[in-house]
Amino acid sequence: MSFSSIEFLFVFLPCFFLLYYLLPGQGKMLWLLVGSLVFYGWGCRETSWHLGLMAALTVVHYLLAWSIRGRRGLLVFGLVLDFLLLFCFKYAAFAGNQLLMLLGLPGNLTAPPMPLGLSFFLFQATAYLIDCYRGQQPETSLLRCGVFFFLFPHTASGPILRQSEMASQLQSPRVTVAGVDVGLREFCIGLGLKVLLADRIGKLWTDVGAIGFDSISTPLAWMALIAYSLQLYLDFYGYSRMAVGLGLMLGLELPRNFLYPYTARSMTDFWRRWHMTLSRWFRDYLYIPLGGSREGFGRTVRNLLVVWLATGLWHGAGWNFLLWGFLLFLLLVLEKAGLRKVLEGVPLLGHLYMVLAIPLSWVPFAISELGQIPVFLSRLFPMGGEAAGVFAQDYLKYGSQYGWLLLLGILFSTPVPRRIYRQYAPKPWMPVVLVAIFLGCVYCIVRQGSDPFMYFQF
Amino acid sequence: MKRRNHVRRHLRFPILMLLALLCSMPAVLAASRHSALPPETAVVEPEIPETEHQDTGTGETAAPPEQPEPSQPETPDEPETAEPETPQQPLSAEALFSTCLFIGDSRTVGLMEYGGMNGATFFSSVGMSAFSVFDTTVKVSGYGETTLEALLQSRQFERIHLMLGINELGYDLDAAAKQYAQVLEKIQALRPEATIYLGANLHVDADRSARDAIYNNDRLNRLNDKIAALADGEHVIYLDVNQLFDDATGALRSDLTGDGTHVYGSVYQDWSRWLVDAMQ
Repeated sequence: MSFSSIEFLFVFLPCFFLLYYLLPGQGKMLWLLVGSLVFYGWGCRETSWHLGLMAALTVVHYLLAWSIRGRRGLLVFGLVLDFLLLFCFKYAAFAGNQLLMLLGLPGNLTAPPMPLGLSFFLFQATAYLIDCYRGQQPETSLLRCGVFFFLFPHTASGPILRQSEMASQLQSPRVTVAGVDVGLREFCIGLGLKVLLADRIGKLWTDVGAIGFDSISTPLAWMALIAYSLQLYLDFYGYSRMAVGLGLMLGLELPRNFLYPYTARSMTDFWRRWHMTLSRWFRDYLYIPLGGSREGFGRTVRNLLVVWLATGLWHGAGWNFLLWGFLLFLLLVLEKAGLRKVLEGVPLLGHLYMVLAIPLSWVPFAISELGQIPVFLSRLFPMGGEAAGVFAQDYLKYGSQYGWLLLLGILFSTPVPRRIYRQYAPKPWMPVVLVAIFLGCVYCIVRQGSDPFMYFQF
Repeated sequence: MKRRNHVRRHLRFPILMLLALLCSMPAVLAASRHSALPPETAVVEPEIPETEHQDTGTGETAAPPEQPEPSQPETPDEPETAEPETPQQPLSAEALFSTCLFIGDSRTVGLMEYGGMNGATFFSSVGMSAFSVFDTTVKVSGYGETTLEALLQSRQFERIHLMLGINELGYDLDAAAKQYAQVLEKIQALRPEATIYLGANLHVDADRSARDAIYNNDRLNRLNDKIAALADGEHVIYLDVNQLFDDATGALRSDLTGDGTHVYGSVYQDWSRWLVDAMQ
């Protein structure tokens, strides 16, 4: 169930929260688990055995954590189980195809349908095991452990939770009227960012994909790349705010995932602001155990390479993701070697550098067919070739359709709207504005989903 | 007292939201139940919202309002595949296109933008359908914002291409075909001297056809057959470009399309070259 769907907004949300607020203490936790299981089950109703698998995994991790403290064998067992599952669902088909192609055979293996949010779930699970191995108090109640893993605001796309930040909250969630108010507002804002901005900006990238990279002009190529960058951020950011908002409505404080990454002045800084719960996982469970940056420059470079190839691979099973990870590794090493001091020292330089580095670093992330990457790059940098496309005024056409959306997207990538909101949040008309945003989103969602004759225009 | 104010202040928004939710619920749930599509299809539509007024913006010079006499009177006798049965010189693309009007939906917009058909006139927009074609105003290069009727009355066109249908595919096909026939009749009444080319709707690729309950090749073929029945082979000619783009299964070749529904920009040149041959 997507947060931006009618069944979630009009059926699940009201039914769930009505009972949640009426139930006392422990009843809340039980209802939260039930609701989360229904949420997950509905999302995977075509492959219902996924729910059983994830439930079984939860129980296994609950039991393992009880006896894992200091016991390396159990830790290895748990980690192997988790990564083996991740490999089977996510990477086996890709790896198999590469092997087949090496042997000269056709690589036609397809990956099995992956359980919703498996990558996030397994990373949270491994973090849980490692923390408990290192001495963290494991969850005593299976009920709360179930909630920790299945909590519906975060099952689809994180944030990746830590036992240390959730344990006491799950013991006694603090539901307050203020929390519900703030949470609901956060949810509305996140929904608006996703439906009214991200989804609509993303269509420019889709449009350009339908035209084909070889037929577009240079200005259009840049516009499309900026559109992709904005859509990726606003979609994930909007989702993360919805997750945080829902958490607040439950009386739980979930960690934030984003801190205005597009205002960073270096890639190093960017990755401390982008998808923060994933970055901290790689930092705490891979980078630092490998030695981090404490064992000389050579070792640091090796550690960075491992971490960034792994990060690339986590995002998808494809050579383009590995390429993306490697590209980031190169930039980060350069920055570590001294570039960063320059960038942070001269803010304008840093921002200029990032204005290029951010969209360009998304190129291999956005284009899964490796062969298309040079085609697109040649449109971005025509280098003596033709900057105009087959359709000479394509950038004017798409500029007039998407220009204002792109500008809005850039604005919402800065802290400015947030500051303005904070200033006017207590005003009596702000609730009306937020309800209007909500209804606008509902209108877009209904139009998109329900009337193909009206909305699917060819 | 202070606490009561605090609570009241924080209850304002949640209560307002609850009211909004409850008031809009009947309409929203009713609208959602009308959904005919399976969820997967609501994904890769490159539709451009609310543009019925497509800016053609090709910057081409307007064709002179009155053409000199047509170069060859025998072309209306051609069956759909081009066989130059006349001993006369085949017309150049430029000469041909300057006599043409293309009416259609986003595929025709694609031809306009990427087909390199200099000199042709286009009355097309994303979302155009047989139900809307005479009610819409479109910005046509050299004519400004115009309706189709006004455009047809403003000058002669020897060749009029009509390619509509996919935006009606969700409706009853007989009703769509009936509307299409009415559009054809009206065009013929306004321009009785013109040869009308009815373009088959482009197939979708195999992937899309398999998973879409409405936009699949079965329905497209049924509609195309009804359109083909309107042709007489003389003054109204049926052209099927699918023979150029289909794979062995009768679906659009997947290497020619990014979204399963439109061909890539670079492919429109092949399409326009094929049209030149078909019109000779």
